[in-house]
Amino acid sequence: MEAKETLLEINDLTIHYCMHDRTVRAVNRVSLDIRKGETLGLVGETGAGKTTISLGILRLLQEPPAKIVEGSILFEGQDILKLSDHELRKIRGNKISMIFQDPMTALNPIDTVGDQIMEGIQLHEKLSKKDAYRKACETLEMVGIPAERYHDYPHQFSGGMKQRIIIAMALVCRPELLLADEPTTALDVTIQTQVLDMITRIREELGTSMLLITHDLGVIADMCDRVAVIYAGQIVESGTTEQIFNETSHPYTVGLFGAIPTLDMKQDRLVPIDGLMPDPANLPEGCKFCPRCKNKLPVCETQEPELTELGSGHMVRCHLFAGKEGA
Amino acid sequence: MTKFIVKRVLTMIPVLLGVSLLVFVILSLAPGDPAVIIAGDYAEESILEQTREDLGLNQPLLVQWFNYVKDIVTKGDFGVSWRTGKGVTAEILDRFPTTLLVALLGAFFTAVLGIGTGIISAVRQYSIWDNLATVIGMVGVSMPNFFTGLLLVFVFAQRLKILPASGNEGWEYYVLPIITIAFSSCASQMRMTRSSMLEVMRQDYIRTARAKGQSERKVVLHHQLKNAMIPIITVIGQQFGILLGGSMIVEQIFSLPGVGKLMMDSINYRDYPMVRASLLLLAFGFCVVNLLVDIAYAVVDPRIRSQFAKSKKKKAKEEAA
Repeated sequence: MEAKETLLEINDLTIHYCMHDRTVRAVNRVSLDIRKGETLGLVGETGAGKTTISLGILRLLQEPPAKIVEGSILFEGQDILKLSDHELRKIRGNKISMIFQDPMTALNPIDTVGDQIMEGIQLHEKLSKKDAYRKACETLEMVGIPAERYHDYPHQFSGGMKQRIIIAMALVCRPELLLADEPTTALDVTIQTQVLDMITRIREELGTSMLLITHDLGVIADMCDRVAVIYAGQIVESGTTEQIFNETSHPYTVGLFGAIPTLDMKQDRLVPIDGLMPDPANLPEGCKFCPRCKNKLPVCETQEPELTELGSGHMVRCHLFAGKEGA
Repeated sequence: MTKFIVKRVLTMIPVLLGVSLLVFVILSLAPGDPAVIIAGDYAEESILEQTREDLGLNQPLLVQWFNYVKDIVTKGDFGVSWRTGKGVTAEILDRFPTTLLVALLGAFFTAVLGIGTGIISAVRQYSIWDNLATVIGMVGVSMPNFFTGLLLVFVFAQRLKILPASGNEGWEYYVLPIITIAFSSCASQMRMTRSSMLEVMRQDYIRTARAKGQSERKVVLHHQLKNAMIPIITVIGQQFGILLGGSMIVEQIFSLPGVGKLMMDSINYRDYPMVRASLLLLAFGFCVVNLLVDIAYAVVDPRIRSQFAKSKKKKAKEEAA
């Protein structure tokens, strides 16, 4: 695999939510990197910290209660966590933009969709009002919405169309990096495919890198070059999509695959992972997955495993694989 | 939209009829005989009876009401004041500009100060400014108008001697009344703005605006405030409606010759025609303000606007069918 330039590098990112009586450890020393032109998938269940990471990258977390405890987020060489508000605003929407989970609530109900797209253009590009308007119309057409609907309001669109508008808003300034936070979760299945196909098409046209957050492994298989599996705010397994799908190693990832139906085999029942994710305010001492793990060792309960490299770039955080480096 | 407004204006008619009937019933139940007040305490029974006959008080209530409404509709005549013997309409129209001025200025300062402090309180939630505004707001709400008014008169007119205590000879006579009004109604405006802003602040589209790289000031004033406007407009409308009827207490304290003071005096004198007409004006003012508030909703929120358009379309369909 050719080594591409790294666009975004997250090191040891730790984010806590500090409440009066407890601290929720949402993200624990997460390290990720996204290369130019690549799509990285971030998979995990609800509450694993996926959205917190993506909001953290743009520093959109509500602080307090959220607090970025440690770590760095290097984007094109500069640490986003150290930027001033002014510098940060130049990156938001311009170099890194975000597609939100719920298209129903992510659009301002009292502005026309066209104006909401144009807002980004006017913030980041020195275009005359007329040119900005034209560009907003072009972007609408790009996501498959007729430019005549520029003056319509969000409530006049369906969910799928709203998500297209949000995608248009995110891509209007041709960002380097797109953070897509479960872009299709709120949509029904037929619309999901349309929206995902559209994201892929436009992303390829513009050469945008993407962090795709999802809990849908099917979406990952279709769209991602590399995958990181997150559990209780920790990366438990990461690697190329082939490595994760063909050489599934971590018991949690194995569990995830066991919980999806396949078409080739007759299955009466799916195999769920027993138990629930631990309370992030009260994480277990050893391996976070230990209480639900079928293959646990005595060491799992007391000692937290480190990431082990199995193949080239295939990392696993599990005691079962400790000492099997480079196998 | 025009159709909607016409429809709303037409619905005012039954409301005003209802109000006038209610006023008739309540006034007839009020203690005190107008005839005694007009003819004097020691008037002979025959004179009292004659007075009652002249005023039409011996007729059944519904007949009195019917005649009253008939005179208004056919002649635009709201009756003659029992106290002065002059037409009620002229007297009220003479007083109304003062009340309107106080109401407009009072509502204006309430809105500006209340919304302003409300925004600061919401944006800097739990800060010293928020707490300070809350405390001052509490004081404003808890202090009755007459007390605030008297306090202001004591400080500014009595001690500092920089503003007049009562009368109506120039702009400086309006300063203390308007401060009194704004002080008490600002607080509810502020609390409403604050809670409405806080509610909107947590919405996803505010985060979207920030994710676009929008500046904090624009996020607050454009995305947040505009979306928080509906409850704010409601409170402005309510307060303006109340003020339009003439703030009785404030006009009384500062001897402002407005409708409120007129109403008070008329009630004391059992000058029923005057009371009825000023209460009708109050009700009418409320109806108009409500209509304006509804129109303002539509201006602010496209979703409400489209509902008006929808009902129009529906009608067009019905007509076609």
